[in-house]
Amino acid sequence: MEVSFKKEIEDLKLGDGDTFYGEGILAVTKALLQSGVAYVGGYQGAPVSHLLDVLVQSEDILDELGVHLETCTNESSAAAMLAASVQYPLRGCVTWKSIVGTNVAADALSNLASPGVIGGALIVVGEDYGEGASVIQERTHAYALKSSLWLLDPRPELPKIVDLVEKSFGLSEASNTPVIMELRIRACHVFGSFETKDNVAPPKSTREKFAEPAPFDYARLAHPPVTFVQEKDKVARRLPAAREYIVENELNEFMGPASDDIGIITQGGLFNGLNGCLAEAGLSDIYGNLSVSTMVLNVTHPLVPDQIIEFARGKKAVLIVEEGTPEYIELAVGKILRQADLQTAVHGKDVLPEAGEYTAAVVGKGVAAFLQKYGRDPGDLVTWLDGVDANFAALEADAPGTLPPRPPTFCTGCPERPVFTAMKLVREELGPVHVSVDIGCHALATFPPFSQGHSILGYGMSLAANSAVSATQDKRPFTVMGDGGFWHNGLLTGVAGSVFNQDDSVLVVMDNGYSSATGAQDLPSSRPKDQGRGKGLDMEKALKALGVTWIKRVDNYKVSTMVKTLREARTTSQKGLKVILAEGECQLARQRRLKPALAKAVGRGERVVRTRFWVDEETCTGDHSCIRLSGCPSLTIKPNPDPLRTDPVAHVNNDCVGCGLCGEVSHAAQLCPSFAQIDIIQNPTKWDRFSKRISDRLIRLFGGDVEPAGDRDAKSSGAVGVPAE
Amino acid sequence: MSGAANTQPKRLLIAAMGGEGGGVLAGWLTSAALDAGLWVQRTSVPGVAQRTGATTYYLEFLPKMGTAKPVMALHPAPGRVDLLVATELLEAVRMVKLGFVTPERTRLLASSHRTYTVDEKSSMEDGRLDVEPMIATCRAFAAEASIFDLSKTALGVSAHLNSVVMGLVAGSGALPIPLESFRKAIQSGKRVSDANLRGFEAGLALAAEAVAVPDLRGGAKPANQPAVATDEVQALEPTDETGFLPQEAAGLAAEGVRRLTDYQNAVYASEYLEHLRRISAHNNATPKMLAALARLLALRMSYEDTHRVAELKLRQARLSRVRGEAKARLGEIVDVKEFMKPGPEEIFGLLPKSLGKPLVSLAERRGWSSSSLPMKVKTTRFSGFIRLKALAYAKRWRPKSLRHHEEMEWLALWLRYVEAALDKMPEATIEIVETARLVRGYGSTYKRGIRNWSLIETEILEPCLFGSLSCEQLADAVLQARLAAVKDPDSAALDKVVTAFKAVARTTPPSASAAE
Repeated sequence: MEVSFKKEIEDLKLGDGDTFYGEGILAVTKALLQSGVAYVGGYQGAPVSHLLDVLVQSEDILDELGVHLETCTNESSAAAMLAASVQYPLRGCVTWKSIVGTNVAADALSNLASPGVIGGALIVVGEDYGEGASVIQERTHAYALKSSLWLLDPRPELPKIVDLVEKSFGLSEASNTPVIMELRIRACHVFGSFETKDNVAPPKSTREKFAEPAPFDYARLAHPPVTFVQEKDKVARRLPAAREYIVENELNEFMGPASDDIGIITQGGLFNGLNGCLAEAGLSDIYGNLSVSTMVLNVTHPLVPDQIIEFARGKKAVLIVEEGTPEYIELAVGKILRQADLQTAVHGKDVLPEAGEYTAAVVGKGVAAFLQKYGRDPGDLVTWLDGVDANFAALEADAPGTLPPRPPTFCTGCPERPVFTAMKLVREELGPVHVSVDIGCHALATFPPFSQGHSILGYGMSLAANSAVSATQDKRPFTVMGDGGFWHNGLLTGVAGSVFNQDDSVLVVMDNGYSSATGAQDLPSSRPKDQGRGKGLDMEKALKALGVTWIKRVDNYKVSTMVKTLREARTTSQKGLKVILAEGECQLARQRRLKPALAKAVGRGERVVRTRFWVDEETCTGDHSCIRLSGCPSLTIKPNPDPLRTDPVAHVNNDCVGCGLCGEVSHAAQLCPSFAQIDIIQNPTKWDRFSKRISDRLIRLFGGDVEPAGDRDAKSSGAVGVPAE
Repeated sequence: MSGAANTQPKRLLIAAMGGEGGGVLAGWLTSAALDAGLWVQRTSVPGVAQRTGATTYYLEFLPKMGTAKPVMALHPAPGRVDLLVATELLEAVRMVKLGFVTPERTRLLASSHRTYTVDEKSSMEDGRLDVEPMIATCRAFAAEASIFDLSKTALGVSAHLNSVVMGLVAGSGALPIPLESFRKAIQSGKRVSDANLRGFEAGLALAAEAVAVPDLRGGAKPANQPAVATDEVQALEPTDETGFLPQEAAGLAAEGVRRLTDYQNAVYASEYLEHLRRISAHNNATPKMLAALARLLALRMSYEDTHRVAELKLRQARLSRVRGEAKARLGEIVDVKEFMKPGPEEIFGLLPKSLGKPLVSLAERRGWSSSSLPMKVKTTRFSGFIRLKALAYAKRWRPKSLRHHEEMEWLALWLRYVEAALDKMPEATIEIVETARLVRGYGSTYKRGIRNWSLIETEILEPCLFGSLSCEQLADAVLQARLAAVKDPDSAALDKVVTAFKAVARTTPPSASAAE
């Protein structure tokens, strides 16, 4: 795993009256243990990966409490785990990244929601929306509406989040309905504190097992004809029960004066930003002392019509602050008020943008327009916003133009980069082909300098997305998939489907050993280690079992071999699916393993050869072909030392981990003779010194230059920079 | 409203790149604030941006007054950021352009060093952004701007950049946190290291150096800002031999003579001067054109063949440079393994023309041109050294080689157009001189350069200067073509420009001079 959570794990043991300091998603983890969950599970993905990572590393705590932990192979299997709460009074929680994970889980969610639950069931989703998001921009809200799942959107403050996690189990049990809690990226990562309680061991658990299974009860299945009964139960019984719980437990919050001629209804998750804007307008302060009537919806589904009606009664207008599209809450509020025959005007997406992240200035503009419309002085809010606009105008005048983007790239030494280098070389040689790409680190090859890929249709979906394409292309298309995507979905939807349908295409699977993009979590094919859950499942065997006959394993760093294999896959007369297993361990994980080991070996006085690459600035002509074929962060440029040349020369900086790609590329692509591998022999043996001395003597004999023997010792550069954390 | 109405937190936005330790820095700052008894909130949008992409961290700090807990924002707001910290210059400018740095409020602390984006690095020529305007933008839009090369500072004390930034923030006094709390925080992280403390102290020292001079827009620039490192431009001194040329050209030519004497011999260098003398005697020769010619002629005459590469790779200066860059320590042995892969043209090019020419044709017929001879040569050991030594020694036969013959043919052609332009269309001369920039490098790069140059030659130079096309648009056409040639490695842009030129040229009546 990428991050060690030693300190955080200790924090999970905190008890009554202690204070927890940490990020939102870790507060959720602690809240789960305080709520007496019997089982937890999920699938990694930013921004909720840490929830699972911490739990995986704290198995002893879970074991002591009797909590079962499952690292699921995808979100669908995570959602299916909640089946344990359908027939048994077990509290459970699963987590994933939304909207994508919720899409994958949708089948299980529908079948879960229909019979409903006895034990509290909570789904914590990382709402990956807005700046920094890595998925399509859609709302989880739609799922809550269509499946009758309750949706919490807590005010992003740790005590509130923790309180709502605990209450969500109560809500779930009171209404026999699973609850989704959505946490936006910044809320997942928000640092704060809250007062902890003792962890609660669930009454029934891995320690206190059920002696007998639940009796057969057809009514608890999601199977006709009971599904018709369940549909009615959702609206006739569960919905009112949920509303009652929400009101009684004050899950939604009312702030500011009780009577006011205008009011604001906001999603809980947007409250802090809204408060900042209201403070600018003189209608609040840094402590949230509001002087405009405000309703904070910590529960965004279901709405409680009575609460809305009471809030709106006597007001000229309400403003709905609701992020994303479509505006479900605004539409619902409109209907509620219309049916109650209240003449309160409803504003929302008329003054706020229909789509996009609701950042401070965006909300500010909407609030200012709303206030002005109803004769309230927006005070400094307008002055601030005008200042923002003036500043942008000044920027446009003083510093026009756009800056080059800096999208994420493959890490230094990443084993996936050489594969894309090879693909680019084959593209240059044989012309372009359609390339179907997937989710994962390898999707970074869609950015320069590789710039390849025709579609991204979902996690593990690249091969399936290629099925119709392959039938309509003269040139055999390529598909790229990670080992994460392979196990998540790709093996069945892609490989089995492709073999079954006799598609003629090429699949490249990145076998880097981890779910790397999300923080190096273990996968079924991860190698078994002391820690971690890897079982070393064999992808090649799995492929063979599914009837794939053309399978090649290639070491990623052997670019020439990879080029040859890709060329062969493109040109062979053999029809059907051809799979290349591109092998190379995630460099982040590898460095974490090797660096300390090597440092220790050097410390013990053992002979260790440190390798890095180097560009000869005298032979480099500054064309940068090497960079266009690599894109490695440590392969960069620097001013040309040659007074006759003007273009910067290529340069390998000290982050180089010596993966060898530079050398491989200069050979495979017939680049230039400027690349050299430097081997630094640490703690050289007597033989090393002897052979070096002989060699030096011979070189001098033939008029060559060697380092003066003293130089070798004198040139010590002192301490070596610490590696990046 | 209570007195709290005017209370505002201090707001800090950190712009960084994934993998730089920005998260660790934000963690240190949080610890320092907690130690100082402040309310602090921190958030970030790491996502996949952790993989060297641009990313930000946002923190708010507020002194405690009673027990009331503040409501802090999760998003930075334009015009409401008190302190902007950027670990790299472009990222600083990015934040300025997003409106987070404003003259009324924002103190900007940034590193002046550049980590080039892929776009900048992969340009076929010099794609780097100009640093000066970037710094000017930072200064213009910040209330105060302290810009230092933090990367250099970090390197100087063998510390990680984030620890230096921590010191700089601590020393800036921009946050209501005492120095001791910062110091405690940097020593209490997950990984405690002396290097972090060293970096912190170095950052602190930098902060003390930065005299806070308000730098409001339109105001005077503070005089005591340390100069930002710019590319060092070596001034080249003319020699007696090159005295016939204007100042700049003479300096470059002096370097050219040195280069070519080393490359081959004094006779070869005098051929170079001969060309320069002939062209400089022309009435229409401008100093600017002559400088470009002196530079490019020297480069083209010292074309990168196998003899040259071998020779360069055996130099003493190189060995100590390698050692320094590799950070080799006391008693360690450094070996250099060169990656070379000469293709058939490069190998047969070494042979005399009569022998090499048929072999190159044979290679072409057999389709060998893409195959080549991969070698790893350990130059620090005798076995590798002696092979390169032999190749370097063989340079005495270079003038007879096929490659030399071809290079000189090309040179003659290029100079022919340069001289023709001096007569017929003097403004175009410098552009024609500059086309030599396209021809360089090894293997496929060299082939692409020759291909592109030949396209410009046959489609633009020849028809304009010796054919029936008008010379009117020659300068512009050659410039456009040269720029297009370095836009993409597939030469797609160049092909487009050439096609467009032909279309326009066909509709323009030939000028009198070209029709003579």
